[in-house]
Amino acid sequence: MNDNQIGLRRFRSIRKQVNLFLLTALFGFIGLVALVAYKQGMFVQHTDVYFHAPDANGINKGMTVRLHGVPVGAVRQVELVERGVRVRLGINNDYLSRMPRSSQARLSREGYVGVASIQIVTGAAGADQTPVAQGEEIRFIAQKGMADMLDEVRQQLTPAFQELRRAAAEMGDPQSDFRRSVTALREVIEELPSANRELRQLLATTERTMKVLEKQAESIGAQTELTLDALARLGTQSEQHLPMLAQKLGNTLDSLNATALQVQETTRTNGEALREVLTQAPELVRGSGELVRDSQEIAGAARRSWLLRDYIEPSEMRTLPVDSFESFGKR
Amino acid sequence: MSRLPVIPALVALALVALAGCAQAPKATATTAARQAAAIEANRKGETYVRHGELENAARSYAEALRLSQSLEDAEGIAANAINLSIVRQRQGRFADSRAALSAVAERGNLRFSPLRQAESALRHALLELDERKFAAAEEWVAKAAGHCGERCPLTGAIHNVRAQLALQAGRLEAAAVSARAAQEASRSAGDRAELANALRILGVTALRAGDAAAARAQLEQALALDREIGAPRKIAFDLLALGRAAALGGDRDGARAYYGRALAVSEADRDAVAAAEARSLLEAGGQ
Repeated sequence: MNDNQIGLRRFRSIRKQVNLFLLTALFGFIGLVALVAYKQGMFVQHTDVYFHAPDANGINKGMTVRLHGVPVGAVRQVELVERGVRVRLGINNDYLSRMPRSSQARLSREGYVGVASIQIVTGAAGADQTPVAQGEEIRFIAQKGMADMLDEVRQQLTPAFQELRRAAAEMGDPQSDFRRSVTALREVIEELPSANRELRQLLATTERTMKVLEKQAESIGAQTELTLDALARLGTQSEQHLPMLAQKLGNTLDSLNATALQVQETTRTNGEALREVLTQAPELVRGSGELVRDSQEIAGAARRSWLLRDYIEPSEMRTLPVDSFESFGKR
Repeated sequence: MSRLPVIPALVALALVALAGCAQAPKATATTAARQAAAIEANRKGETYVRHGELENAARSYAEALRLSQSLEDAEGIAANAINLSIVRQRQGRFADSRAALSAVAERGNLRFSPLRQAESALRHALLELDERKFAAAEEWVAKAAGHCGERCPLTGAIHNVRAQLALQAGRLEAAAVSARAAQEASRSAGDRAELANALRILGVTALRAGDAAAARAQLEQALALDREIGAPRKIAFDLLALGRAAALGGDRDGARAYYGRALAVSEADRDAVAAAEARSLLEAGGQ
């Protein structure tokens, strides 16, 4: 047996083994592809939903679409259109009912350096709550970049800085109102010691004036005393004249008495009239009673009339219930 | 020319028709008016009773009775006489109450229905019971049962009066039997007031027999019914009896609670007798 024969015998079954190995590798590869496809959602039905964005910065094909943080689909396609890009999202049909037409897409990032994803923000309670359908578009909320934000801050702060600069310039100008006010204030402060001295002088003068006034008040008191004496004399004179006044008062009372008599007479006359009224009162009451009876008869006749009798509940005697307990509790 | 005789003929016809209207018999009109006045007085009396104005009620019923008597209206006489009797008994005027019932006595020209006669006899029995004339009360109850027959709306009340008489005589077993009969009759007749009365008597009977649990059970039912009906005097009585049953069972706190409730109810109802009883029981420490 030569070497060649020995080699052929040795590799006689290797063909089968190689085929087996290749087949296994192929199946493994297919399984891996299937797994990746499954993970990528290839076997799940998706619905295409679109949104327009001014640019595709940060948006990539295959990017995850999240609803309340849950992955619900992926970015399928990004295509250039007239004024920006049109992004096609493949949304898992299982989550479609939770995604109303009023939803909005937003590019968000997990932290400042995290993975970017498309965040679906559902609309407010009052908005259209119908689930989004195949081919429909939702709105995109453009994400502000750092440069945009800085620009915005700069725009808002610029007027404030300008105002500040103007104020500083005004403070530096010797002819400005501020500088004049400060100068005036300084002058006032410098004049304060002299003003204080003048105030003290004023107080001293006031004290002297008060002393003078005290003396004058004493003299006025003496004069008042004299006036009271004069009043006392006047009282004495009045006392002398009082009988005369009393006499006059008596005359007045007499006339009042006469008036009272007249009132009494009038009252007596009125009393007679009242008595007359009272005498007639029973007659009036009787008349009223008759009037009431007549009214009752009229009402009764009306009730019995063929027009009304059918509409009025028939009257009948009512009996109080005979209660066997009537006397029970008393024993 | 042909129209002229027609107009006078029409006018004459109209006058005849008007005369026909005007010729209504005066006596009938007067009778109807008096009947209406009697009913009016009857209704007034009922209203006064509802408001507790017994004297005014008695006056109205007396007027209604007079008007019914003037018309020889047997139904009106019986109804108003019985009502007047009830009001006078509540006022404590037993003689007047009995006198009112005399109007329902059988006379030649007036025929009262058996039910009215049974009512009148039962009213007599209640009056006798109230005056502790038990033998006379037994007689009147028998008469009422005779008028009532096998079954009438008063069967429950009649059995209850019998039960009360047995209770008075100390025959507890007979009282319980009559009260149960009353319970059955009033339940089948749908008479809640008499059903409550029967339950109350059963409760009192059990209480006297020393069975506190049975007494409480029966009295609780009676109380529930009385509260449904809205009878304050009976509610107060039920509460007092329940207090006694609680005391009998050794539940003095429960008894005091019942007496307190009875006092509140009777004071609100201006029932001085029941209020005094509740107060004295409370002062006795719920015994």
